[in-house]
Amino acid sequence: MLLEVENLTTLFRTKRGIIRAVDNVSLSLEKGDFISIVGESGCGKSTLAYSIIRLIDSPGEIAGGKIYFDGKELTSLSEEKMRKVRGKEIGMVFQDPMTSLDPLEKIGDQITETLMEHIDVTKKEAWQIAREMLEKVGLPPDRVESYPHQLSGGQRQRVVIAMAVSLNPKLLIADEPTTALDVIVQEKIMDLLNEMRKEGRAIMLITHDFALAAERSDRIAVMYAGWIIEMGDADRLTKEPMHPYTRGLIESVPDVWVDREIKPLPGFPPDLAKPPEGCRFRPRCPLATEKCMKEPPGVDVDGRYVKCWLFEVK
Amino acid sequence: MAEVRNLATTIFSFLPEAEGRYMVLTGLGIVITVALMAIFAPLIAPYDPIKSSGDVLQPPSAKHLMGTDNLGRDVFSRILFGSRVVLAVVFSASIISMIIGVPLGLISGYFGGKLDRVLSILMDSMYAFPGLILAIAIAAVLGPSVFNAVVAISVVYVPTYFRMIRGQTLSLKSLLFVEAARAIGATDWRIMRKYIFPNLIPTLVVVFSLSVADAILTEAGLSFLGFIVSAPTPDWGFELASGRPYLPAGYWWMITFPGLMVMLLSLGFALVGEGLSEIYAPRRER
Amino acid sequence: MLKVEGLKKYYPVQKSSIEVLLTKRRDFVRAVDGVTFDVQKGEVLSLVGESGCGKTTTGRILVGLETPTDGRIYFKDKEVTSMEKDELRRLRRHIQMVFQDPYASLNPRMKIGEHLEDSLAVHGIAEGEEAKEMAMAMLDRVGLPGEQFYNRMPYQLSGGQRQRVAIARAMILKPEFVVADEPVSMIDVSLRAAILDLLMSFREEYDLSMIFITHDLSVARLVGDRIAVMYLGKIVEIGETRKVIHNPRHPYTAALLSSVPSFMKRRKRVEIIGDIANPIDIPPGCRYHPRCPFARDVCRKDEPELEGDRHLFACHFPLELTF
Repeated sequence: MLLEVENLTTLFRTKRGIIRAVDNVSLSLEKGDFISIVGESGCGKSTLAYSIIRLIDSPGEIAGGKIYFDGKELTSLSEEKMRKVRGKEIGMVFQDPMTSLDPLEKIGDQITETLMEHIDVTKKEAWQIAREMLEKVGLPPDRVESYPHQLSGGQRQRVVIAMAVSLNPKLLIADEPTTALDVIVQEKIMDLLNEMRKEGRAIMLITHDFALAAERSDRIAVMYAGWIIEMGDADRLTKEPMHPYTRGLIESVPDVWVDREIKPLPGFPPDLAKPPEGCRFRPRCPLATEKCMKEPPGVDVDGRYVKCWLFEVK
Repeated sequence: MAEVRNLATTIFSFLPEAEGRYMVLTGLGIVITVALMAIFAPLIAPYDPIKSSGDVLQPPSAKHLMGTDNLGRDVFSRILFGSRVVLAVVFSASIISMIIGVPLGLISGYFGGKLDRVLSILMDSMYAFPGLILAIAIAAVLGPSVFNAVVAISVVYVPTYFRMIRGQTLSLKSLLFVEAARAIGATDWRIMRKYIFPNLIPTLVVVFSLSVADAILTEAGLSFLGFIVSAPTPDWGFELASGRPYLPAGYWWMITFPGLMVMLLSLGFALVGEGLSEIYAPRRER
Repeated sequence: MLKVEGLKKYYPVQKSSIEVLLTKRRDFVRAVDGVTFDVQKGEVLSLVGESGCGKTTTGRILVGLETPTDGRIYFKDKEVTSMEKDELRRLRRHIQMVFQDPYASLNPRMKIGEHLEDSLAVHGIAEGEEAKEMAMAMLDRVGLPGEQFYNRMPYQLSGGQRQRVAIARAMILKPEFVVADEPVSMIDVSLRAAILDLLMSFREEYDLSMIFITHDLSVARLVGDRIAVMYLGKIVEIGETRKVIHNPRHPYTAALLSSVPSFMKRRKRVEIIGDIANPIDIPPGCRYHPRCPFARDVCRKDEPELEGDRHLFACHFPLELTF
């Protein structure tokens, strides 16, 4: 296993109460795996990603659980060692490429700096690697001389990916990397991520777009209100969703090629400072029963993880 | 009125957690104390401010809290009554500047064009002039009187309101909810009144407090130079002027106490203004 | 219902003072560059394209937030472009808009109920108690119980709820025509369907005509009777939804379609080269040719016209494929 997250809990202490943004979440990832974490805004999917690279700032904290990555346990690692893991072993791509780019510095300088911080190369060698990296992500190598504002949104995201993979990380976490981009550019960025995967890297894609996850990943984990409520093979999960939320979500989104009505999901996501008692999806669930007043167990049904009383092992 | 009430609830709901709350509370404390002094001056004042109440040039004592002046009048009583003039002049002047500056800024920022360019140049050139000198010039032309001082001071602060309101209007104008109002078919007048003006109120409160703080100093300056009141009416700036010749001889109380009061009141308003702007600065709407 | 002919909107490019002194040429961003279409009574036309293709500008011109550089708009056979300011303002009642960003489209210092009443007051439809009653009823209608929501302020509402308010304040005027500009793209995924449902229920109730602007072809397919695809300020293909989706004739439509993520996994891929061109320097000939894998010489010289019977496309060598 490349990455094993065990019972991870990340919470935020706010004035309104304790928010368990990631609550007792476990998942694992092998080399070359492409997993998507799917959910709505506020479901904890980004917090999960940030927890793995331990970029959780006060008032948030990782309150429990373990993260094993490539033989190391990350939650107990010193900040200094963690800094080496970040970037070098786990690359990160964010939604807004400008958050990772310095507007006043040339692209080449930015990649070179990252390289020289982590590996022992001369400026000249690093500059050469930067050119190669740009070529690899489909940009002309002479773009090293450009400033971020001279590039389009899609090109900037390519640069960020180039930076993220320049240190050859084993895991690449992409947090809504294409949300701000048009579908045609999204397509190309996704192809690029897929190429990175083919080189043996594991990819974790955080997205709200179920269809995109279905199309691109091997496995999908669906998050709702801090929980993973269903996780399994992408194909099977989208064709035969088990959890009522997964099913509801799939039925509520239109699809270009499918001629069907969409069914709105009733209600809205809970306030995590005051989550509903028992199952957090209960207030919106058409199949809720008495039993759902208690937290449902996470069970394994033919290799699919489901956190719902409907699938309780008898 | 509803806007004012909204503002009040907004301020009070923010106060418990926002950074600037202590500044605002301290400032308000000072301002309210001085206001109470002015309102209840006849009740608090131990002596008649314009009549001699004992020996001349007595240092502060239990009988005369802040001593007596060169004519034997009680300095404390004169300060109490003086606060009335200060507050009256400064408040009426600031309200007049606001009444002139805000609509001009709003119209100028909202409609833009030639009118905006002309007004902006005019206001900027006024703003570039040092406030006190401009006020002295105007007061000198009009002649010394409380009314003329109010006019002089209000002219000085019109550009402050104009500039702030114009800038805010410009940025509010491009916001989506103003566009949405246009899309509904709202008239320009309605958009200014219901969509832009209410959103200017926070800025306005801040600018008002800060400009009052500044106007207090300007008023003191004018008064010092004798452009506002004449003897025997008490006014802080005027007290400074009449106490000045006696300072070298060691009669420090005639000048110290009025001076401190000018500083304190100005500080009070400045604290309210700065504190509020700190509270509003990170727009806390979820 | 609505007819648009040769609509253009050019924005002058901001230049530095040195450039202004040195050159005489003025550059323009050709945001909308000759758009012609019509919308029938009760029909929904989806306007799709990438960001910067001019779809939002087109919508803004229709509701009067921008004045066109050139072209004519007819609303119920009356020419809008030559109307007086006052007449135009009265027309607003019938042409309403729902904006993309529900967080910015409401006045932060105005109660939810007042937003609806303001719509009524602007057009002198109702005031006071009567207006309040109508507002309450409309809030109920959009799923925000009036009793609870009338007195709330916008910041107390979620994005989905705000968008309902935005819809309510447009619909309370019983418009005949609505421009919906990406009304769900900023809404949580699980709430989108409900907002779309709400919009479509008004469409039935009022027999609304609608322009639905979206970058999402799956939404366009769902709501639109017809789809118009825009590229660099021009419509490159327009026709019945089913036709455009399953038999796209323009290579750009095909490329766009083939890049939409779908649960069905992809069947065909149609290539598109490079990045979108700068709307200041629109390529000569067919404006799509630099990105088109099928471009030939003629495409670099002659600009194709939008032609066809009910399914129109602007391409010298239209595709024959079935998705």
